[in-house]
Amino acid sequence: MTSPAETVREKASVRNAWALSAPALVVLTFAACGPLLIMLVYSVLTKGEYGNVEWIFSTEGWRSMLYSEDIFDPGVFVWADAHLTIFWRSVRLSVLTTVLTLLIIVTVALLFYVRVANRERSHG
Amino acid sequence: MAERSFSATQLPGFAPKALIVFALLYLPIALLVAYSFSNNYSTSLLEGLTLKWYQAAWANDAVKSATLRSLTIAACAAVIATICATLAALGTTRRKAFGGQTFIYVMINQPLMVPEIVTAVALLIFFAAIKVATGYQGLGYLIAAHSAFCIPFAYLPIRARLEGMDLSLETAAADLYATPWLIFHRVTLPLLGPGIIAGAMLAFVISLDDVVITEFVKSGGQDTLPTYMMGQLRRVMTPEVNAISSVLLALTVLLLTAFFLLTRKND
Repeated sequence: MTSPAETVREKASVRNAWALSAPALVVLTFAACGPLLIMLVYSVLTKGEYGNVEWIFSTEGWRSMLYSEDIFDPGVFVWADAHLTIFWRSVRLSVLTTVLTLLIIVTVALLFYVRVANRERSHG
Repeated sequence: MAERSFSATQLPGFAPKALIVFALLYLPIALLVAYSFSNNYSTSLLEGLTLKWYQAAWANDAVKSATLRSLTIAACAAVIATICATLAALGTTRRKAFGGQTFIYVMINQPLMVPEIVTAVALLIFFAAIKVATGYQGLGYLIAAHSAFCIPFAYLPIRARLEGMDLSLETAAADLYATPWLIFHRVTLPLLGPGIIAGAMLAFVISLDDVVITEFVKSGGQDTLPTYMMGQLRRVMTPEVNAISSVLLALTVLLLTAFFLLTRKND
């Protein structure tokens, strides 16, 4: 059971925590998270004529990521090879880097572990 | 105890292995510095010994203005990020867990997790809209963007320092009738000082080094040192770029050394 005084103090502590974090949250919302949300909204809008966007819902952006319209055959859609190749290259590079790093550090850690274990056994 | 006395340096072949690893890590950088003294127009031929590329870089107005711009942005971003990070660290440590604490952690560490290029594209869209609406073209956008992604880098060392400080000194000061402001000013801040300076220097270096976000956010004629050097790639590369890199490297090493000396535990 908490006393009323403790409850008041706890509430003040939480209020202080938010007030102190507020400047960081404002800067991050303005120049990091907020723009990410705007980009998400833009991804489902229609492309304008002058590099702008029209406020009409469209899944064109997401579709063109995977399929592109054949230049000689309007209405015929083919896999957007360029996007997929580039995306795969990035993903493959990061996966390979991760696997290689893991292999090296796990090997080193195991070698150390085996040595420490052997030493403990021999020293009783 | 075996674990305590065990040391990696006792493993067989430790020295040669360590040397190979260090060579792999630092050979490219060492070569870069070596070529900055090369008396040849190409960045891939080493001959002679000269300081003329350093002189060329010093005399180059584009380099000078880019350096000044980089330092201005890094200084502003480091100050803003450090103030925000210090306050946030004070808010999120040394108190009872509360709802929303995880949300604050995620928000602050978000720039470390989201790929930088994604944030860069998002900022390009957002700031372009503001530029059109307000007509302001200045360095403010770059400073805002850099401040945001520097916050986690400043926050982490400050939080680490705070977590190592218990509340007993502050409580003692409060028992002696010090006001909350006086406690902060005379007790918390001096103890936290090294952490704050370390955070600020880390933020400064990270901002100085940034290419991706800067390249997307900058307006025309707002090259920073890294984006200027990247621009040189499309033209003629001379050892001048190596000379600039070497100076930047020296500055970074200097700041990072100071960072480690300040964050080192006082044993």
